[in-house]
Amino acid sequence: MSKREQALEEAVRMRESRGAAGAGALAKAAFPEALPEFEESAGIIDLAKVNKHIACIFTDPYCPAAEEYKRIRTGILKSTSKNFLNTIMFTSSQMGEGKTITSLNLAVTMAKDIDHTVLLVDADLRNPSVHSYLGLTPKKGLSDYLSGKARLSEVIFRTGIGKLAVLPAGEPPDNPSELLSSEKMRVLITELKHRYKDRYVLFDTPPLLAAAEPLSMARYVDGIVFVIQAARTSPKIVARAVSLMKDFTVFGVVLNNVPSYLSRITHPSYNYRRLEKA
Amino acid sequence: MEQIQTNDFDIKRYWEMLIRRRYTALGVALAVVSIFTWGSFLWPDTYEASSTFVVENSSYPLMKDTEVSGTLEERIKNLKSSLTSVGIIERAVKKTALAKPDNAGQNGALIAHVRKNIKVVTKGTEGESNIFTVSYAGNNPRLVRDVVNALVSQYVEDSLNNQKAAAAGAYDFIRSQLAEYRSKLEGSDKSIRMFTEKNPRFVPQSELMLSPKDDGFNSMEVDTDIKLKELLIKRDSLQRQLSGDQAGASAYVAKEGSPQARLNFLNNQLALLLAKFTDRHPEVIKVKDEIEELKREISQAQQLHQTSPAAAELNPVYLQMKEELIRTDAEIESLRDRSAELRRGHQQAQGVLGAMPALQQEWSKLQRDRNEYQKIYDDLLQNLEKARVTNDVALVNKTAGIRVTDPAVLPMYPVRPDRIRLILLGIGLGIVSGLGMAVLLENLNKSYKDEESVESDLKLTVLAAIPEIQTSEDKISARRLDKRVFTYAGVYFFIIGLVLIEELLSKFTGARILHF
Repeated sequence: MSKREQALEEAVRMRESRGAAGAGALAKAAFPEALPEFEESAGIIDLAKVNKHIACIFTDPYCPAAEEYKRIRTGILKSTSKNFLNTIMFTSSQMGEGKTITSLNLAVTMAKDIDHTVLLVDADLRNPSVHSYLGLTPKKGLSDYLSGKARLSEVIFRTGIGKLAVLPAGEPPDNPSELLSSEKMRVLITELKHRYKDRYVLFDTPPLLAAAEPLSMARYVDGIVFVIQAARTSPKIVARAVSLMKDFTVFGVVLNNVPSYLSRITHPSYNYRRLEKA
Repeated sequence: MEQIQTNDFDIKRYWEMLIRRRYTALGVALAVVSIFTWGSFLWPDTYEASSTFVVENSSYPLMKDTEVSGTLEERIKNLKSSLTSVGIIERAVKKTALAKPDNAGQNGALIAHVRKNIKVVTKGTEGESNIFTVSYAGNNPRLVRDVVNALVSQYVEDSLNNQKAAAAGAYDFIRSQLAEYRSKLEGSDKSIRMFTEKNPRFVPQSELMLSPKDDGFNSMEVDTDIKLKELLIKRDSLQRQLSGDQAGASAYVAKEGSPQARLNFLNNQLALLLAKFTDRHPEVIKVKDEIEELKREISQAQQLHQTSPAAAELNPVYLQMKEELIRTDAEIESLRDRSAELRRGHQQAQGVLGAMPALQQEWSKLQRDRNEYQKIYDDLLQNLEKARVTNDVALVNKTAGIRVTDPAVLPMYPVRPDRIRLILLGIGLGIVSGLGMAVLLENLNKSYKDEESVESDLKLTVLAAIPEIQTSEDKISARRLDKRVFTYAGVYFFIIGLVLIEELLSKFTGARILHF
């Protein structure tokens, strides 16, 4: 980790230690070019309410999972920095493979990077969960915006975690597929992609084999990150899902939730930091 | 070194895999233990009762000699066939208290079951006796005990009856045989008597005894013939002298030691020698030469005395010679009579010897038959005495040579199912199958477990492999669940352990505490 990254991590820790108000102030300062919409609807994350599976990224930046998310960040930056392919969709073959946690943790990890701002869009209108992981209870979200019930500034929230903003899903609609494949959605993605040059927009979407939305959205985003739950998902199912993505750009695969006994193979240097301290 | 590290790593990996699948392993182990433990209680109990008894080799005088003693296997086979015969089992079953006297079908099923399940084994030998064990297994402990005891008791009773019958039969048979041989012996005596009457002069003797008599006749006949020849020669000589040599006769008769006397002696000698030897024998030739010499001397002497022949009739020597001639004739007659007598005796002896084989054969046969009958009769007489003793012993005997050393007792613990073994087997198999199931599931799980397989299969870059995120709440929750699950499992295993202890106590002490 570079000195710069360390300084940023330290700043985050300081911000967290000062409490919610302090964090909000720091977050605000970190958005010099923020739109009025963002400023008006800024929200503050209450760490106590954040799902503990996300909290590890905040509380222990050296935990094995945090290291892996940094690996993803590095990989994505490497793939996207040349042409700044900043709209990335997260999907999986079936439910419960860890799309939301992966996208959320990656968003947090990237948001801590001093060079980028991150907007995480919860595009899983059928089973929205980003807000609940962050402990938020938004009244409006993407579905409301797409159906014309809310303005964009009303549905994007600053989280106070680095330069991370969140666009929650909103109330589950009756026609999620139509909403996400609508022209308005395409315009929104284009707008989000081009409005800020340093912004990464991450979309958390439903599973590929469970809903049509991911394939509709895939046409508008720059690339896909495919999440596979280790030691669970059948290769046949994965193969079917991958075959659906053959016409789109796939940045890579994230093997999620690897059991510890298998982690020893993939990460033999798990306890490196502890050994270093000892 | 690298290999050792790899193995160590594999063991750790399997251990962690097992920890991960601990509920599966535990569940399978508990299921297997439960199946074996509780299943053993669902299995109907089978009790076995056994009785040990010693079968002594027959101590009866008669049986000891006549008993057919086979190999041990044959004895077991005979014993088993005796014990499994329908008759004995039927009688034994009827003796048991649980048999239904009015239910033929039930009794028939019981008889069939007993026949099928009875076991007879040998436990070795004790001196001249064989030790056997009869066992029977069934669902009712009281019934199996009663059946075994009744069976052994019935076997003893039947054996006793058989022995009595055998002893009585033997006694009767020997008596009948004895009567038969007595009549045969009497018949043989009668035949011998008739033979001796028919052949009164037959003296049963051997040829060796008869031959010396015949030889005696022969020898005496030869001696008589020799003497007869001497006398005939003497008479010829006397007649010759009396016919022409009256003068010479005086010399011949008058003086002993004279040439004539010497000539007579030599003639006799020559006759004796010729009877024994041929003419060319040196002794015969010598005597002949001497005779010729004497004859010449006598002839010369006669020529000198031919001048006075009338005086011859008055010559006492002549008269003496005449008397001598008469006496010689008398002796010759006597010897001829004796020779004829001896010849008759010899011929008679030869006749006896010639007729001897046929009679002797008949005699020998009669004697042999009699001796044989006598011997059998004596043996039968002896055996009759033994049979009488045996019969008497059999009548008072109560055991038939069978001693029950261990009567069947009420079995307290079933032989099947062997719950102790089944529970221990269940525990062992439970552990093995729990571990096996964990490994099996792991191996059957073909999902992606590492980055390499994903990359090689999907041809996509793996950005990262995120480890399982376990929060402290997760850990506490897992620990709490572990505690609960393992407590329940421990309590369950404790109950299984109590069942095992109960079964052990029941088997080895007969005591039941928990009464499962």
